[in-house]
Amino acid sequence: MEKKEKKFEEKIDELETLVKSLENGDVPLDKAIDYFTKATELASECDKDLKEAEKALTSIVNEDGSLGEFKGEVEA
Amino acid sequence: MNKEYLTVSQLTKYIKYKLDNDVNLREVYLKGEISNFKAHTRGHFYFTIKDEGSRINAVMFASSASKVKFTPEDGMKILVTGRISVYEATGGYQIYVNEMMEDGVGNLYVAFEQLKKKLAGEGLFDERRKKPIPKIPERVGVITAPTGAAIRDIISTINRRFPLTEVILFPSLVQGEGAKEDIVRQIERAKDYNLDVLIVGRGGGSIEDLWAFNEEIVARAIFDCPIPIISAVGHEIDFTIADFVADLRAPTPTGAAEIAVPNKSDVINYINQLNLRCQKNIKTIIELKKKRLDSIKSHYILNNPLDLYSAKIQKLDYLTERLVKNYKVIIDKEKIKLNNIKTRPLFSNPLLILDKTKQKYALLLSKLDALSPLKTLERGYGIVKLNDKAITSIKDLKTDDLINIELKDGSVNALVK
Repeated sequence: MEKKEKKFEEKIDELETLVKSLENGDVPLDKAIDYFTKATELASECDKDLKEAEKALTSIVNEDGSLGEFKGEVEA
Repeated sequence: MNKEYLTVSQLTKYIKYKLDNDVNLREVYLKGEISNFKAHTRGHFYFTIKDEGSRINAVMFASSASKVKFTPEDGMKILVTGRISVYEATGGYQIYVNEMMEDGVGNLYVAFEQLKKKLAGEGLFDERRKKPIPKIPERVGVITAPTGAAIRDIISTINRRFPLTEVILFPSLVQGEGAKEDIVRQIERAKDYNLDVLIVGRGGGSIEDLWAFNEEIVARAIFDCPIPIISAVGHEIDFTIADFVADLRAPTPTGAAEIAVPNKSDVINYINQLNLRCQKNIKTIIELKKKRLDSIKSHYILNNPLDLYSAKIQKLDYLTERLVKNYKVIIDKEKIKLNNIKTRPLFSNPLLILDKTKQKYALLLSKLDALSPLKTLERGYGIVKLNDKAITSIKDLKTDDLINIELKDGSVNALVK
């Protein structure tokens, strides 16, 4: 099973790192603006990811190891 | 007769000493039936445990008795653990009971306690061996029955809290024949699915229903699994071996899902917080840089740029002034010089110098003429030469020298005699 390009957690981690770099203070202005732009992008991306997700993707592992849709009765 | 007679106390002490030092008697697992049960007002239990052939007095002190989960009564079949010692006052040996449970389910409790002790001894419950549970899992595996309440609770909890997480169910028997093997097999399979965390559990049930989670092979599979495992077996009050060996115990399947994924709104809040921090920081950075720029801009020399070369302008002016002044002086001096030269008599009458020169020449010429040897010859003198050199003394001459004599009107050769 392939995973998504960038995990949500990785984005959050990167966002944290960027904010910490900015908090470090002594950053050249162009770099700071770079960090800021990237961080803002990441934040809105994460926010969007979360707001768009409504229902967890749920699968069941079949006997042969393949993944199938899980049709258990689950209230949203 | 020198035999030493013991007192009763001495003997009793000796017997007590013997019993107390017997390792086998320090921890005894005993089953039987209660009789003569008495609960003392201070909380201690006094009773007898008997079977068909024998009986033993038993005492259970309040500290242990308070933990008994049922009300003991005569005729009840029980399982106890305790130590054997002697009550010196009566000289009777008895069992000091630590734990008491009803028989029937009792066998399972014994097995549970024994396995727990064994695995604890092997370090399977060590806190140091427990893997951390990731904060935001991408993919959660669940090993439980596909039809039970557990999977429903887990999925609805994840949907509610953090629907970005993917749930993968590994359907498993969770009770009865083959359940333990199935759970183990699913734990093995789960390793291949890139899971960030694995929930292993089931909903509530009797101790027999939950028993698969007390099996040694399940415990070892959980321990060996490289994925962090949250156990979620039964209800809050149910503790299984799986709970002890898991990286984290959740009280229920819903609780497991709550531990496994964060709350969406918390994460959104956190992101907003990060975003705010980010904006605050960039503002601070820009303000700092601006302040620095302002301080540089307010520097004296940048505001008075003429000062950079005003001194040089002054010097230039000074030099120019001096140049102009000196230039005139020099020219004037040279003009005077020229005028002086121009006003000399020679310039006004250049022939004067020629006449003077002519006179000088004539004078010199007459002087030269007076000195000339030719004048002397005119007056009758002669010049004697030997080899073209003038001779002035006879010492310079020898006999037979051929000399030349120059006179006024020519020369003759002569031989010296």
